[in-house]
Amino acid sequence: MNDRLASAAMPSFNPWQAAIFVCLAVLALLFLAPTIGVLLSSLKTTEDIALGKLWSFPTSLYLDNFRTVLADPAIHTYFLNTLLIAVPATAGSIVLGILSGYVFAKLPFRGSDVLFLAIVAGMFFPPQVILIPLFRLFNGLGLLDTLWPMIFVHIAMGIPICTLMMRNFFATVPAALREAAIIEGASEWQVLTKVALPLSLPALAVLSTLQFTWIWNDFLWPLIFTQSDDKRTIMLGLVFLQGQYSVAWGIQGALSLIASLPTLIVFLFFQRYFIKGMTMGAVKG
Amino acid sequence: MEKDKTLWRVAMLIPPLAVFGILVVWPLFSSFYYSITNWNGFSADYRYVGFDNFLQIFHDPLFTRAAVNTVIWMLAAVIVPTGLGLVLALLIDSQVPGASVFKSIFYLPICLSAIVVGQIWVWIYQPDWGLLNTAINLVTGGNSHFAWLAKPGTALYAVIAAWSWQQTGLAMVIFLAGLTAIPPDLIEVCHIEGASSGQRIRQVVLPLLRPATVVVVALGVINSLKGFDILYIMTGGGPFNSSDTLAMHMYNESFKKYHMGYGSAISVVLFLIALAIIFAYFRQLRKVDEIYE
Amino acid sequence: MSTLTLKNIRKSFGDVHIIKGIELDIQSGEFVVFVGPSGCGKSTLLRMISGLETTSSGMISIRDRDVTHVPPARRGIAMVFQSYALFPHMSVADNITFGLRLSHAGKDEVTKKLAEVADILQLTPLLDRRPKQLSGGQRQRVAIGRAIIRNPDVFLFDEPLSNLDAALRVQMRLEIARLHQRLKATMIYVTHDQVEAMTLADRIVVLNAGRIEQVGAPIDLYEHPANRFVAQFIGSPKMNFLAAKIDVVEGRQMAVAGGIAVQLGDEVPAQPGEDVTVGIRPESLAIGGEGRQICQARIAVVERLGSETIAYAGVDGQEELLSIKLPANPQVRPGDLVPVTMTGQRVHVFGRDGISIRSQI
Ligand SMILES: Nc1ncnc2c1ncn2[C@@H]1O[C@H](COP(=O)(O)OP(=O)(O)OP(=O)(O)O)[C@@H](O)[C@H]1O
Ligand SMILES: [Mg+2]
Repeated sequence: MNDRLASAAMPSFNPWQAAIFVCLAVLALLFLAPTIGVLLSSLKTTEDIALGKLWSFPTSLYLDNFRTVLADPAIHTYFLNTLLIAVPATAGSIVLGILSGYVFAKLPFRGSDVLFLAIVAGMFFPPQVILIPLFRLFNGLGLLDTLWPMIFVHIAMGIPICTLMMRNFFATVPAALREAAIIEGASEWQVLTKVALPLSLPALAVLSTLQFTWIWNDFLWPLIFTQSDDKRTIMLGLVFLQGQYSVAWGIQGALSLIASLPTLIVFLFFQRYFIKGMTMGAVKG
Repeated sequence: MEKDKTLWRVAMLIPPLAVFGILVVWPLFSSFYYSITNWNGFSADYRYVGFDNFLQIFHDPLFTRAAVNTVIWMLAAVIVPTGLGLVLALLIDSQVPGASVFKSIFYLPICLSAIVVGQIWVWIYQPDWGLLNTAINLVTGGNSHFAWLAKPGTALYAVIAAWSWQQTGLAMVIFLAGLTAIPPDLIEVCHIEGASSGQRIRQVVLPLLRPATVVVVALGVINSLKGFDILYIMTGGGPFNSSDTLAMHMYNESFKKYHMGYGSAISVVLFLIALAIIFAYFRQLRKVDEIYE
Repeated sequence: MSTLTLKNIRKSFGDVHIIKGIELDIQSGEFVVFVGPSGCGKSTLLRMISGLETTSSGMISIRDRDVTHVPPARRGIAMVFQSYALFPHMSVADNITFGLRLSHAGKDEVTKKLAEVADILQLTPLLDRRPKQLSGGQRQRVAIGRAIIRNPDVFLFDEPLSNLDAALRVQMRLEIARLHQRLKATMIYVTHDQVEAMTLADRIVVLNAGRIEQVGAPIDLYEHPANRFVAQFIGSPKMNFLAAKIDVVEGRQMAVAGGIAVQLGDEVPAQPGEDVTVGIRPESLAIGGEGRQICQARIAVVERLGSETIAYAGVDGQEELLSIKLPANPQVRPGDLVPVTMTGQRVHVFGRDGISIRSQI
């Protein structure tokens, strides 16, 4: 990235634009530095790093860190556990959000606005507020140290954002479409499944990427609800392995990257949805 | 007809409301209950202690510390990601080449988990070969091995910096969305009236970004209240509780020391703070809606 | 036989009364048009008939069956929406057969009916397209097709043409008229557009603020408006209204308004000195020529529409300009002082309550 590129892309050279471009490029480099650092460290041996060679470009491709991480059976367990939580919890919260979102958008009733706001407000509270009672609840149910509490909690904690987004999306489906379907003999359920949902695929894409990412990245709930190693999720495992590979910085780097891989992939492919979801959730909340 | 609708409302609302009620609303109220007991997390017998836990809060220097730190964190959240996000958004919005690439770069940290972000920044602050000391030594020619995260004076700010790095992208995209929502003819009017870029931004763009600003600020404050993971991995609240926040303090009291009753009292305080912020936020949103729609 | 009967229908949203007691009887095969100013409750009334809105009180029956509390799909109605309300994710064929498929009709039946309907509306080549790939007129035809295939007792149209441009509107208007003749179905049609109302309707229902002002054949409403409201609503340009007093000059009953004196051919039942409103249609006025002169007026604005010209003229003592419909290209210019004459014979006289005292030749 340099000036020549900037001016080449523009019909006429504009000093302001060039200055802005340089500014942004510098900031972008600063912003990228941490991520690049991890990437570099994951490609180097611990000795290299300790000798202060972290910030030099790797001369040869050193992949042992990744090999070590990928061969670790614990990592496989963490990955599997996280998937086993993230997939059903994402699906579950979206399904529930679809139901409530439909009612709030298309079947409003006296007081539904207040109820809607109350649910949406739920997304802003720090989870610490319900930590202890949930701990007690799952302890009482004998579900501590299983994956179930995380699934349940993520479904429940996903309801506000899913309700918000689905309601906002369903609100854009014209009322006349629902009415036309009703006149044709459709029930509300059929209006939802045959008309509203097929039109809401973008919203579903937004929500799935958002929910999956959040659940994948979550740390607090498994920290509270799990104990044994074979129930850990990837983020919890990451912290745990940090102790195990305490000075093996390269391995830690590789670990971080691999743990972030699913969300990075989601980000790369669904960036548009991701950003839309973030701003939509934020702007109307 | 109307009866049908009511049946559907009930049928469709019961599953989400039941789940939400059992796993969010009910626990919220039980927190209030536990906050007036001395439950230790496991034993079956615990007793009612009235407002003792809340009184204890006032005599707990660690709580005061955590509260002050939380406020610092909130202030930083309002200033750094909001300010930086706004500047980035304005720069990117000025039709500079590669805008979408820049946008992705600044946004990327958002999809990383707080744990990974924390770990990355632990490396940055690493005393011997971390990026920060390396850069400082490069500039000053010195040989600093400053342990940023191990010193009470810097730990909190070091964590806040890492957190801001992640949150700036979020602020930026919200501002960008706000900028795209400004009708182009308003900007064209500025050009026709001969306003300079500075005048345009100060007198037209910034006022019109007010709704986005409300959202960014509120989100920053709320998210800083939630800040836990990144703290947990970077300092664990240390050294000597110098970087504790309310969320961290609550966790330590409840799940390290098993003072669940006291922990509940802290969580009630957290809840009340969050509630106040959310009320202010919703009211601002409504006000903004009235002015701008 | 009557197809649709409304008995004292009322509707309120909260404390706001929108429909305030409607009595109406619609015959089988009739084409009835609801007109009225915006917000008067036309759509609400139509939606009550469809069942999309509940009825606060009163009774709706279709083919002598009380359907007041029957869900829309089982009332024997079909509705065409202003916005077409086509399902964007379905093909034209799927849109048209949506209801049939919901009711689990056999495949053969669906195919057969679809073919018939597509044929009537010339949609056959478009059946596989999505609504997005259709023009406005085609979309409207699909919406009509979706209604026809249900073979309803009553068709309901809510401003179906108002989203189309002027030329298409005329074409679709003709198509709807032809469709009505072909299907001989009962149709209720809501519109803002006078021309649509006048050309399509067997009977027009003029609504105002939730009440029926008048029901009648288009020409009846034009010639015998029951009150001022109907008189000003039907006809374009609007009827001229003059605040006048009854007077008797040389044994003849006159209405005198500022500088205007209109002779009322036959006696109307009004006393000398009584305040009335006189209504004269612009097409009953002319400038100069054969008719009886009613006043001198100064031309203010001339609108030349090609086939006709509308002149607006000020008269001493009258606040509103008088509109006068003139032939294609008259020799008038703004500023001219001209004699205004009555060519048409019709003068409408409304009492102080706005009710027509008598309109007469
Ligand atoms: N669901 C509702 N709740 C409250 N008021 C309503 C509702 N639906 C309609 N109204 C009110 O009822 C009145 C009549 O509305 P309606 O849509 O029937 O008018 P309309 O005659 O069709 O007008 P237009 O010609 O503009 O379509 C309006 O004042 C409207 O604001
Ligand atoms: Mg209407």
